[in-house]
Amino acid sequence: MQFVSQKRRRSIAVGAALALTLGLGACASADEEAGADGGPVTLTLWDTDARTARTERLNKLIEMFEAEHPDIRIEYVGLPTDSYMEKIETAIATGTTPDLLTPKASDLSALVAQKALAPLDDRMAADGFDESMSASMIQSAKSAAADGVLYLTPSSALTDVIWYRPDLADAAGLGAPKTWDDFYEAAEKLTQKDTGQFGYTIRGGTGYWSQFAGMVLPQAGVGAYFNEDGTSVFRNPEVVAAAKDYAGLYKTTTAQSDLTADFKVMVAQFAAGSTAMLSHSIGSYPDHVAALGEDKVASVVAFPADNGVRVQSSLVLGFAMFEKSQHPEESWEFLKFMMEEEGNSYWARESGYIPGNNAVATEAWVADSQPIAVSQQAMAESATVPLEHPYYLPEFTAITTTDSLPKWQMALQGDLSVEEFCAELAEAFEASREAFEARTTN
Amino acid sequence: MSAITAPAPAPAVAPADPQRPRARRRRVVWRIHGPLSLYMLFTLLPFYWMVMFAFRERGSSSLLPKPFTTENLKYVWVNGNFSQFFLNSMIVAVLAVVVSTIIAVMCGYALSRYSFRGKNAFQLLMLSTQFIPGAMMLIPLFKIFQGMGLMNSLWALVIADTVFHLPLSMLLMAGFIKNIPISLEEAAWVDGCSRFAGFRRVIFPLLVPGMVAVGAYAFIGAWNNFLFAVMFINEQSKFTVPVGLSYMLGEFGVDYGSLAAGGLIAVLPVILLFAYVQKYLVTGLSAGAVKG
Repeated sequence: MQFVSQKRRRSIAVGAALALTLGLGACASADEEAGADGGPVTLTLWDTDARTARTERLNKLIEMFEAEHPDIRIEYVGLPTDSYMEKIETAIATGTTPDLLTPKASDLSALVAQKALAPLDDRMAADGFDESMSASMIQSAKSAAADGVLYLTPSSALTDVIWYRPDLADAAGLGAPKTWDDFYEAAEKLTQKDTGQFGYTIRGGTGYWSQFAGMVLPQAGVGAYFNEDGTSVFRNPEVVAAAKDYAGLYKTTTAQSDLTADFKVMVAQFAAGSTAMLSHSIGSYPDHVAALGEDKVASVVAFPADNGVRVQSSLVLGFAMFEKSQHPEESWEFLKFMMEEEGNSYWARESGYIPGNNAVATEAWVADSQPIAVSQQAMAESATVPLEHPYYLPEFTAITTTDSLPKWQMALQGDLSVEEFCAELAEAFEASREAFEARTTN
Repeated sequence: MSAITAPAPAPAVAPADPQRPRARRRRVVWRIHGPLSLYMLFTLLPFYWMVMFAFRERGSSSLLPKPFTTENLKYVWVNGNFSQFFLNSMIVAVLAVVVSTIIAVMCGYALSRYSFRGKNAFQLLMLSTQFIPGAMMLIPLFKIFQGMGLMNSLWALVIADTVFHLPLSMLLMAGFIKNIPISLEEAAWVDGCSRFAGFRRVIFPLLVPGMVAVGAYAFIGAWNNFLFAVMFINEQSKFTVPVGLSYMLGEFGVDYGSLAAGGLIAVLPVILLFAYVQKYLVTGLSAGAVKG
């Protein structure tokens, strides 16, 4: 009898423990939902580039916001930079989107196609942000969406630059490159294969497109993907010639292993001193400074092309709110804070971004930051045009990643001619645009 | 009359070369140790890279961890919130091990000792679930956990990890139990044990290597699972170590010191676990794999 009762007691204990733990899990969710009424409103922010340092900065910003808005709480959730879209897609599919997001202009196409984001044009105009924010950033953010509507606050931007090592350039008797010819000459002269030093690192692996388009189209002096007659610029002889020059860097002034180099490899090579030049956004500045020191790294923007046009590639980074947010007014308050002077200045300064707020852009720290200063100076020139990527094309990501990457690698290895590579790109972009126009006109 | 023949001369024996056995031994040593050393170098170099970056100051280009620092570890543990991620991973992995092992033992016993209609089809079905990528199960699992109120709970990870690894664990365990002669159980029944008592007193002690194999498989699967943790958790304080590691790789830069320190924290429990269970693991896996 005693044995039986012991067994029963044990079963009851195990059952109770399981019920308690399962119950605790369920209760936790219920409590979170219940917090909406009465107390402060809680908004959830999903960050799409959650690095430790950035998380700290964003949490500080949230503290600043909450101090000014005691009735609003922001719950930060950091998402990994290489898999955030899967999480967002799942949330959209299951109707569990958060309130706020930190997307890039290049993310908008997929999100807008699913009607996931709330339009911001009317709110921007009503609160005067049309005037106080950078017109070019607003334009870039609008052009990233297929319907030309603003879904992303133009809080900040990153431009593509060419990073170089001034110490190595000086030692080789070279100054800062000022023209495309200077750049190719420097790449050649700074290559010393016997010591394992290469003049440039070409991105042959994942994410190659931003470097390819950011170097080839500016060298050709072309700021768009399509000509006026609707044909792709990748058919233009000057673009094909620039692509041949650029692909020609592989193995002559770059490491053979660059065939699969992604941004991590490129940045690591530059930080280790095995490469003297690198094309990347100004966002990697803190990493270069940490690895090399401030005096051993400098940047130049893309040079003017033969037609006198300077094409500058940049990416708007901002904040967006989801259409299904239960608290749109409170969410807008946070977006406003990110565009107002206090929040925008802190965020852009600490992150090394170009600020979107016009007043912040005149602050002293902007001029003191070498990469931001050269980018802004170039932007202000009348001959400078932005490189407009057709992010609105639903196939843009597929064309520039999975579809063309193997062919780019074949072109680098000489298994496919650069002319054929460009022709295939042109065909893909033209077909995508045609399909897009057919969809939008119907 | 028998002819007297001279005894055949003894075959000439070459004088022993004292160098030869030593040379042969040396050749054998090189033949075995050479490839093994190369393999070890190949395997351990990434670990060395990780240790070097974890304990080296940022900006140093030395191939040794100097100037030596523990700042990366401290930074990751405190600022990177790895203390919390580590705890969460440990809770998920330990619970997944316990639940997987218990269910695998029960199902494995049923599969190996009972005959029922559709048994082979059931086993085949279980095996075929292993060919479904985790990403395909995300939305259905998401809906299920949402309905159960388990979203954003570590239980979602425990259940998902257990469900994902259970079919193979069950089949491994069934193979292992099949190798234990039924006569041992029958002897226990003759002595008055019930089926459960016979299992507990006779079979269970013999199952330890199998359970260790299944447990180690479940632990590693749960410890390393990134996808489920990203998808089913929406709260910073409930993420696990693999998600924490991904924070070290940003869109515009990589913090190698922190990445290596985080990697060291992530890999340490697995190394310790293997150091302890390896003797059981080899027996368990090979025994379970013999018969399916």
